[in-house]
Amino acid sequence: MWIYVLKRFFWFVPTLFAVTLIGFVLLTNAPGEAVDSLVMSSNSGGSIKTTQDLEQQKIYWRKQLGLNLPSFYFSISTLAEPDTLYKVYDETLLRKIKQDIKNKSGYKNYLPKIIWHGYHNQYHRWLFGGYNSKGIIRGDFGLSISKKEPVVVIIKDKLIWSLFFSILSIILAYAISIPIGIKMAQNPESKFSKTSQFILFLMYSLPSFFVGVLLLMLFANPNVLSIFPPSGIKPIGGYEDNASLIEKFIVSIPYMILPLICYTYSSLAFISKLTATSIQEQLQLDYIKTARAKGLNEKTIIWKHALKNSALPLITVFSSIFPSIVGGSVIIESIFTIPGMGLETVRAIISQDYPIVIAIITLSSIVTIFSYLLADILYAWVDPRIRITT
Amino acid sequence: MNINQSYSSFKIILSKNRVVKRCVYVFLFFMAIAIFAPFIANDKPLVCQYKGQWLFPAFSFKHQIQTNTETINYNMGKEWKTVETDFIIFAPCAYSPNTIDADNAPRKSPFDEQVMTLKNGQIITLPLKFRHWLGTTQNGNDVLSCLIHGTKISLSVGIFSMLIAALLGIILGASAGYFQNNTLKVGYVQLLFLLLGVFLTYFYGIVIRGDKLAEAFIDGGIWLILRLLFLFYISIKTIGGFGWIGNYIDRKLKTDNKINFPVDVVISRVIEILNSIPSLLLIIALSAIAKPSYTLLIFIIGFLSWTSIARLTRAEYLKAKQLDYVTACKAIGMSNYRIMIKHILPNVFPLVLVQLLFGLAGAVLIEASLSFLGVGVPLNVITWGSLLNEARDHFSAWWLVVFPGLCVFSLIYIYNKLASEISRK
Repeated sequence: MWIYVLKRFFWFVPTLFAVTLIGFVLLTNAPGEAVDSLVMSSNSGGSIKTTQDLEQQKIYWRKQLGLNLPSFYFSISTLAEPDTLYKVYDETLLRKIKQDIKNKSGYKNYLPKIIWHGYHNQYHRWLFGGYNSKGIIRGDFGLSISKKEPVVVIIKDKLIWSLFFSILSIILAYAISIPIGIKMAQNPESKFSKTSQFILFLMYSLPSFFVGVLLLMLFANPNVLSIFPPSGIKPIGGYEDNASLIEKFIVSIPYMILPLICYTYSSLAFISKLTATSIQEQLQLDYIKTARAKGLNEKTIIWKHALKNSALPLITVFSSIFPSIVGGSVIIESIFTIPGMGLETVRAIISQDYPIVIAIITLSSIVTIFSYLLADILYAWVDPRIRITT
Repeated sequence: MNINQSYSSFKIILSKNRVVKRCVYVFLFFMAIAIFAPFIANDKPLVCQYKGQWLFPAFSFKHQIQTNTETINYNMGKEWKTVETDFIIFAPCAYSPNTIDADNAPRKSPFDEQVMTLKNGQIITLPLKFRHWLGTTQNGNDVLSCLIHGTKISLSVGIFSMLIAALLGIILGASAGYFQNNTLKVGYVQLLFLLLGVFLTYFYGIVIRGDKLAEAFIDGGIWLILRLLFLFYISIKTIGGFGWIGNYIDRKLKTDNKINFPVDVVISRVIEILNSIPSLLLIIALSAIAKPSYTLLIFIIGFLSWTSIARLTRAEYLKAKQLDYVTACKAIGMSNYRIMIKHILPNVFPLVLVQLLFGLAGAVLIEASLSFLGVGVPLNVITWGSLLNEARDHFSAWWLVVFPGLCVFSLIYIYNKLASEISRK
């Protein structure tokens, strides 16, 4: 078993690297000059007066952000360009220098050259740390441009809300749809299974933003029904002082019902259909006949014997639901203004704060990769045949 | 045999199954609305007789026309409704999506009294043929007209992005499933030449022309797409050429030791990587980083959503490879590519079609979500999603929620329904 886990883990390392690389490429290509906006926002007090001060501020922030380093371990350029061209920071100056080089050096413009920069580069700094950064490996995702705080500090609270909602909604989805699926499997021709199949299919096709706005319009609207609060996640004044966690939870319940409906309803169809088909398959098998012949009651047969054996596809779904819930959180959180990662993503994109966006993408991909890993290990744990053959 | 099989997927569509038929009809209805949108909802009249001259403003590409006495501006928008003509026929919905009806501006419900101001300043109830049947938006745009013109965007984003995804998914999935890890053999010299080809293509295709490519990305639009496609095609051809030269040298040298190229491992890893990034987040980030446009959005969705098609195709090719007809094809000496394209593909296509339809539903959902959030899409175009977005701040405007929502829902529903009906067979 442990050898299998280690093997899987070994396979996940390259995937992790690739994901961070994608995040890094996005980050370096993001528009907007990070240094300029940082300098501008630090200048709000009017401390910078001369252009010399401005230049020094710029150099300071470039050092802080590690922009004075080459971007990757190696770079491919033309033979004409010098190795240290990355040190030029001014965009217009860089373009002018490049043009100059191009005009002077003739045939050298058309020959390739590989420059090896070693580990003193932006990607290495971003990933493993060094040069004023701890690296994302130690949980440092850099500096938010608009708020000038470390990204981790901003994300930490948001991550908790997003994870809370996604885990709660996954549990809810399984708790609701497994009994429905079992009931559908027991009697596939019954009225119950036909109507529930129809309704579940309708729900599967309903876009979540439509349902969200519709729910708000019906149940949080003073003109129709004002049962639930329209936005936020806690009372406007915040929680009471020294309220315990359970008290906070109880106070927040009315705020959570509508978002949870939105998070959950679309995955119901998928899980219950899957449960129904896999339990139906199991019910045809001989061991169920034996169990029936033994005189076990139907409840024990299904819940104890058939469900255990049909758990495999349900585990697979668990790992694929997670990324879709993370993506879906962008929409649901911005409808209900839940202070989670999704809402933060939209805010960051509108204010061009790309370090936060990239941090959220990278972080949620890493979590997803680990959920795949977890699913694989669970798979092997449930079914010993898998860990023996691979 | 092959001819019959290659039509099998179309037979499914035209089958006698009632549900499938209905879904196809609804889809064709949406298609017709998208194609004829300018003639269904337009503020220019279809036909009019102005001072004895017959004009067809809705069918004309010109902005204005010179008559004997005066110049008539076709883009006069609302003015058309008060112009004095001998004879005039308007489109069924007499508004363009960008026509602003200031008289009914801040969100008139379909049941409210709607008014219009005549040229002499008199305010009258809106005649039935000019009525906003589905209400108006904050600025006074006609909701029905926005819905009709939004159909075009929703349909085309889905269809074109899935065309890209299907192309990529089928090619990559088929080669992963058919070649696996031990079929495609590469000689050492060939491998060397391939790597050299990749390096040189990267250098001459991207590094040298970096500034021009960056400019193209800033400009965006259809030219960027064409340039990228051209670059992609040339790169593939060049790398293939290098591979061919390497292969030739290999054969001349008569080297026997070849290495297996692990196609399956490589493609499966790429699929895993793309699957582990939450796609909606990535699409939002990508389309916000570049200049928002629908062509770019189509390409982004297409290049990120081929994975599910590829996975399914791979599994089907793995299964088909074991079957007798493929062995027979190999025995009579057919080339791998011929077997893959002419013999296996027609057999697995219905299953791929199912995945494609689910993908279509997903693409429509992504487009609507993005325009609902207002990120990554051009903000001056009103679509189904952006209409819903307007309702977020004004819950009393139920018509801005219900009608666009129902449109998105019904398009997604017919795609899903078609997929599930086809997969049931």
